Amino acid sequence: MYMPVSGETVAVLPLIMIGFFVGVIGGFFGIGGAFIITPALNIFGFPMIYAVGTDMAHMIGKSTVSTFRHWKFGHVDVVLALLMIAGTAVGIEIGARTVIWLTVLGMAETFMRFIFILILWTMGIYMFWEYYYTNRISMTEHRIVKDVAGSRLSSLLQTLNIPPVITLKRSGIRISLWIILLVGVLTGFVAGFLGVGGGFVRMPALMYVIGVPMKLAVGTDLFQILVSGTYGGFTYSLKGYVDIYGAIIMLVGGAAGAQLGTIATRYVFGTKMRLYFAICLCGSALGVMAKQISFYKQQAYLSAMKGYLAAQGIDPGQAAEVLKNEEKVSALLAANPVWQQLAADEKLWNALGGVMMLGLAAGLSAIIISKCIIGIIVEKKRGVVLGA
Amino acid sequence: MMEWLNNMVLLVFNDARVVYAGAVVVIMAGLGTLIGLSVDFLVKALGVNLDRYTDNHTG
Repeated sequence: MYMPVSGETVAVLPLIMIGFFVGVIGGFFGIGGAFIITPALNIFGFPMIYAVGTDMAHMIGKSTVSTFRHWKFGHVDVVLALLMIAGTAVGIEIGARTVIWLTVLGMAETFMRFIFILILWTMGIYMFWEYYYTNRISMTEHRIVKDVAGSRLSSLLQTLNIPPVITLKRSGIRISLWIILLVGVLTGFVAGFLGVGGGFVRMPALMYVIGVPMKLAVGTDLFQILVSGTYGGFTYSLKGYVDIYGAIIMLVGGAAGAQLGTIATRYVFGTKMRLYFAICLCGSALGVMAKQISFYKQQAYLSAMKGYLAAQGIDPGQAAEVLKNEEKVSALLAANPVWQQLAADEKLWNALGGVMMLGLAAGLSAIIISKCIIGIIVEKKRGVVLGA
Repeated sequence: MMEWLNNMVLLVFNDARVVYAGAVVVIMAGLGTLIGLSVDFLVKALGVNLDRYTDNHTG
């Protein structure tokens, strides 16, 4: 289908499917999923800037649906979300400025990916361990542990009486305002630094640092995504980087998926949700690692080309211009089989990273939907709460 | 029909960017809500009460 704003022709079905898969995951975990959708849209044919803008726009509709449903379930702490947004806005600005500073030093991309990978692995492994630990308690004490409220860190932070101390009725927490703002700034910093929405780090921060139960963390984070997505969608549209057709097509799958993902939270224990989130984080870490390997391969042949051009007497400024030109780079690649191999490896690892992300999204959403269907069937059989 | 729609989109996009941006937000929120409510309707038709959260986990 022809996209009039970006001027690209993009297949419709993959757009609906990626919207649906990430919608299910987003509604279930309370994340936007930009780290999966943006590269996928780029692979499907959208230039990167349109991929970011179009993703932002479709997030408005997706998060409206799932936030409303979580709110109906009583899983949105509006006061906490608004306070977090204030801190996050400041953090994003600091993060973005840090990236600009690192870009000047020429270290931004590698540094950002390493931090990204480190955060994903650390949180993923911790959540795996936590699931294993709660599962052991269930086995040894013969009782079902449905969810774990807070952590040692959140318990400690809740004892710090730095005024003003506020009571969050919905979350059932009494905590210093400064701690909420600080968590907002730090998670905003990570989001601004990595250039992502930050739901994957904000949602665990709400659980482990502030002490909000899993399902409340999911709903509260979605509310924040709704606010930031609306602002992002509007500002990207204003700058001309939102393809409305692409956003509408993705939203058809995304809104349905987000609603199903949100409904699925009724049927899955908080502890199990953490296990699935851990799988999501570790799988994403593998995807980002594949992208980093692809980046190394690209750097290898580009630096070899720089050396070759320098030997030809071309000054570094001109060489940099040559390497920005795709046709000239292709011509250089054709002349050297080693560079050709490196370029082929780069494409392979890049595609592998994309396929891993998409496979992860498809696999997790299949598990979540099956849980939802099983839950509805069991609920109907039990007949306990139907129409209650 | 499609060509006319494309031309209209481009007309608004090029001549009234604020209207385009506003329309994106309104269409996204409206369409998202519509699709969400349709899914709700289908799930409710299966006999599930979605107006209240119930601790009815299956694991």
